[in-house]
Amino acid sequence: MPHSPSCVLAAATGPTSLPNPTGSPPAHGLPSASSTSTHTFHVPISRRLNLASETTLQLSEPNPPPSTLSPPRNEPPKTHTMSVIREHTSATLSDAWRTIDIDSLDPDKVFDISTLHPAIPETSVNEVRALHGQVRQLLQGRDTEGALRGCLEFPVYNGDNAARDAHLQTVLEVLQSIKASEMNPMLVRIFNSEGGSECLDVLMKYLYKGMANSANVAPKSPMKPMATGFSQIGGRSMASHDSTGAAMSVLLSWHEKVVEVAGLGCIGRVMTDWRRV
Amino acid sequence: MASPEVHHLFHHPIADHSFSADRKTLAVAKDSNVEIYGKVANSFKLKAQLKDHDKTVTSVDIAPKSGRIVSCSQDRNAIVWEPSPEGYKPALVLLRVNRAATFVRWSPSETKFAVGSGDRVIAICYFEEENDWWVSKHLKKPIRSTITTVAWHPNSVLLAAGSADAHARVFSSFIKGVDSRPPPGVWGERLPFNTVCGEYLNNSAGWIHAVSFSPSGDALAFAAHDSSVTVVYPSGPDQAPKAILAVSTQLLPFMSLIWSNESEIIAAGYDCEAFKFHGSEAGWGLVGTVEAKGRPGLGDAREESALNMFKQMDLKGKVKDDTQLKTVHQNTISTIREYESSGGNVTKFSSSGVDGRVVIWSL
Repeated sequence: MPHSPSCVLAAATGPTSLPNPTGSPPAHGLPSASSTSTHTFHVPISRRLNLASETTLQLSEPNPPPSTLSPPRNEPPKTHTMSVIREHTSATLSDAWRTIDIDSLDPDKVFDISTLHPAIPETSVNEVRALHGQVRQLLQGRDTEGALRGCLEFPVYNGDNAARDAHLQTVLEVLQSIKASEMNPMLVRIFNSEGGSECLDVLMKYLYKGMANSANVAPKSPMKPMATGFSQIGGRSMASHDSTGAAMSVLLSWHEKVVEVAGLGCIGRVMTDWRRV
Repeated sequence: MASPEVHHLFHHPIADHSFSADRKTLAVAKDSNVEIYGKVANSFKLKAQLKDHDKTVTSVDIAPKSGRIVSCSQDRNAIVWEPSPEGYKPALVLLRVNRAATFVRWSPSETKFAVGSGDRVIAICYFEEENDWWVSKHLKKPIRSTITTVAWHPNSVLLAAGSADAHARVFSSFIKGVDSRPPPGVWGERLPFNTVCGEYLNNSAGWIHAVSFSPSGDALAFAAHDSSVTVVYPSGPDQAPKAILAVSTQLLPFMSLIWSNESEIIAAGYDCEAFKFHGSEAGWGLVGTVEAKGRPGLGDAREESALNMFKQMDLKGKVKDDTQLKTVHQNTISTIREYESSGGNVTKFSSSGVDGRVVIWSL
């Protein structure tokens, strides 16, 4: 509803400041002070909620003369418009606009995420098994470093779950067969060789995968709420727990040694890398 | 090596900083304001606050010759601040992006600037005389995610951009009537707008934090979130590059990098200190830190009396005070920039970070 802020100001400040004391409608169609104040009470509450209080004064005129609808040409500085804006935003203040999909008309909204990276050849379960056989031979020949390098140089980046899990088992088998005293010098040798940094990144990926797997295995029985209100995961059946605990301790000690050699950068690379094992 | 010049401006993150050409004025992005500091004797004093942005200011850049400041913010706007005797006068930029503006840099010619945004576009902005405002043209293809950083080639036409889709790309931002045709080079011969001159991805493909052209413009370096710095030597248009050399480090990721000359890169980031890389087309490697380690002061030379020990035990529950890092910056370094150079070698550079410090380092 267009209105002149000067009229509003006049009406709001009361009858003394009214320029036209005769009671006849002034040029801007402002009602006399008495009628304004009485009519304000009769404005429906819903309309008063939607608009600023200054505007309700204007609305209070039931049938304004047609000429009053045209706004004056030269508007004085809008000191009162601020309050109108504030009233509107506080009424409409919600987070609903955050859920608007502003990309809904964008033709490039959805794209094939696989186009972002070069393709990696798929590894089949049979290849993983063949590698496992070779690694086992190296282990029997006491060449643990060769075995470790062998399985780290051929990670399964693209393959089905069976292939991925089979390769994880191969890596874990190698890790468990290496003595604690041999870990550090072996890792340093691998790190300083050609492509060694990459190898340790792969090792780190398998360490995390191994930890994730054993964590999934651990809670065999569901949580049992106890009378005290506490709940205990897994209860006391430690038979399977012990073996995963042992596996976890191997992984943790390897993790510590890998971070010592390859630094925190290695962990960052595992987290950012799009090639998952 | 001279000790670094430390200016602790406030206890608040500095998203970006920029010095004027005479190094007497410093603009920093703090919160939703750009603050202008002037050099008084040996310290910087707050001179002005530019307050037109209403969300976090992400980047600020002072053009060396004209003294114009450009800033961009998460409120999706960029503003050019024209210096005048009464202060800085803001000028509108029509960015036309509907996500945060993340990074802004003037081209060396100072007739254009590039604004990266979360809207998967780079807005190349130039001044349109007839309408008296800055308009933009968008580099759009083939960007797949937020642009995190941009860097200009010395010819003011080529632009390198790093993105959260893990690619560093080199674009042509040639604008008719603004740029003169660049001579053909290793990046390409004909360079119409939005020509993709190179698109690079390193092995583990972290999102890119920083890109930079070498001083000659014939090599590109980028740092990614996988703690790596990768250097690319292109061999010519439509050919595979001569060499892509990735250095994966044991450190935390680098947020910013500059070339100090053709064979040395300075990079700094989450490790709160700057590192030097040396190399050539044959290979690159990490050399070491810029900062001299084991500096006196900073808790090391603290009195080691029994009284002090028990006092520390009582106050903090431990003997050693380990609340301070051994580096000058006490938090992540977010930007490093060239400060002084002679004969094609950067001799001093400045760094700013999350700890509210601006530090000037001698190489």
